[in-house]
Amino acid sequence: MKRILAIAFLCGFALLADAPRISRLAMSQLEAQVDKLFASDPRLMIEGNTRGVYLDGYGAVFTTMVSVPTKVPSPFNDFSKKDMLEVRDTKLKELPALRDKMRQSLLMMAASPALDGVRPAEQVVCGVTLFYYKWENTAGLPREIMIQAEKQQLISVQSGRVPRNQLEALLKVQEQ
Amino acid sequence: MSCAPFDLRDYYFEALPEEQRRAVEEHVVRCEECAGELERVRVTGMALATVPEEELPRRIGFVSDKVFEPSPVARWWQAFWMSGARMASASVALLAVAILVHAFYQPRRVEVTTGTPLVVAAAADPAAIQAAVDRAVAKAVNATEARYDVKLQQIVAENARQKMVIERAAETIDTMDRRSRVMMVASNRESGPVPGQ
Repeated sequence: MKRILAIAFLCGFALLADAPRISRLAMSQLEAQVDKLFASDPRLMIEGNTRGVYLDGYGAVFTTMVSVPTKVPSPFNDFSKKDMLEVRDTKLKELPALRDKMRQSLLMMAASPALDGVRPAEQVVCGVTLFYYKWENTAGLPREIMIQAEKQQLISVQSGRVPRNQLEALLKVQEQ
Repeated sequence: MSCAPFDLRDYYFEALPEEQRRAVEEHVVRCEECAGELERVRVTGMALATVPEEELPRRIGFVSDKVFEPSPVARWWQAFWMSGARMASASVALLAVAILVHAFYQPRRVEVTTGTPLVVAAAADPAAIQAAVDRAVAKAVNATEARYDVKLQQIVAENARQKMVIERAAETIDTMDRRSRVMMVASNRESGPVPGQ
């Protein structure tokens, strides 16, 4: 009897130890919210649904793929080099809007109850892969943008303890 | 000669008034001769009735009119054709003229140019001619190859352009497909997955 109780106790402890800090359901709800946030901006187009993952000891990482809608060539519409330059200029012009959306998503994610399991000192990361056609002139355009910050700092900004204009200083931005 | 009080032909053609008609009828009963005359008039009238009516000609021409008289030239021509001797004489004369013309007429001669360098060279040195021919052939072949190369380059360029257009279209279609899947995933997140997907 003692053996059985000991085995049951160990199994229960093991199950508790393997339970994720953030459930898949909560993560998928947050993914949908991030998708909606990007989709709400007509200057952006979601090319791949947002995927979120929690890395224990690091934080929550959300990745997505977006593009800036532009005119595209077709067999009935020949595309000149001037058109390609126009496409590139349009994308360059809309990049600040994309970065702003990423900042908004970070604040939203940090404040979301879905990430309650993320520790305050852990990171909340938003990574965006920009989609380009093969024919595009991508000079000066980033392939990936990654913005991250500590969860507690993001919550401070969201709650108003830290002024919004200091958010930029708290963020770590990588573009390549 | 009829002894009837009125003309029997007028009676037959009903050209008499009623009293005169009655007088004629009474007379014919008594006079056998007038009865016979009236009978002949009737037969003649019936015969005339069987003849079909024809329209009168608008103009009546006579053989003596000038219209029917042939002109002097026409009369001579007709007489010529009708006379075997005249025809024979004319044929002989025509043949003689043809022989004379053939004898004295000389067609223009085709002048053959001589003394071109190539002919001289050919006459002089077959090797030089061969070299000239080789040069000419090489020149023609080079020109043809140059034209062919230009055409080939045009075809290659057009092919590359078409390929690029098709690749771009395929990429656009792939992107549309991906976007539709994104929308499907978003829809599933909103309302749960569609059965069968």
